[in-house]
Amino acid sequence: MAHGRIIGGLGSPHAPSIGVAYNTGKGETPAWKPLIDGYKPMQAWIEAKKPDLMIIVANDHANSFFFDRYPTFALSVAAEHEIADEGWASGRCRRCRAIPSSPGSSRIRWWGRSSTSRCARSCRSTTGA
Amino acid sequence: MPDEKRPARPAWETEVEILPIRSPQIDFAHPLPGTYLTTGARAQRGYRLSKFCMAFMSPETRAAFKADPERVMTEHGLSDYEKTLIREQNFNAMVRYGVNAFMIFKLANAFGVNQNQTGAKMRRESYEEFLKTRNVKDAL
Repeated sequence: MAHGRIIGGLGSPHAPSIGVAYNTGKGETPAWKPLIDGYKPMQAWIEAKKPDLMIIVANDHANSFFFDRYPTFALSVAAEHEIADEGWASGRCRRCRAIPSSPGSSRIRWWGRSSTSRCARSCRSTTGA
Repeated sequence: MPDEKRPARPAWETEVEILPIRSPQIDFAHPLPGTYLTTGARAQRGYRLSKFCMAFMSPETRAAFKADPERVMTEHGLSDYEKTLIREQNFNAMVRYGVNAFMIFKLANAFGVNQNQTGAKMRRESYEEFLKTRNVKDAL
């Protein structure tokens, strides 16, 4: 299997209010237009390059996790990654928001030595896929 | 710089829990007005209230709180003091108590208070006063 080629990276501030403003149609108001317009060259770049895969690295504003268990690093494996619902964009379901859920892959997995290792105890079953 | 006009702080704000911290950069005798040390002890004290705020991630809890806040607070086993902080929407006291800022935003939203209004409350200003300090008035 050929390794992928990294063609670029994009960065964005992550204030939750940005998504809310965009979802509630404030992208063209004087307050938000300068910031929202900043995304347009990035959108054009993605459109032109058509990457096969995007890896999204994001922090968690106490949305998915709570302080009883807060991992330093976590890998989200799912067919679809929903946006956290804190009620800011109330009245709009995740299907009709301007920013939809992110498509993902439920087949992603860690490629490593341990993926076919034997159980260390006595059952001798194969662990992993 | 000590602010002599400021009323005396409640005991739990200045209690000795911060003593294990030794830093020449912090003058514990004269904390900066409006800033509060976050410590493990405070975070643990605020844990129950933080967890209560986390429940607002669910639309059902948001609707139940809107209909009957007292019932939801009692169901989550909040103490009288914690209930008072919520009833008064005293976000500054919540920070001092040990509630995480992200949790306070979830709670504020349940009251229909947006982020700018929360900021205004924490600055002890009316929303109109606060908006005068912004370059663009309708940023949120």
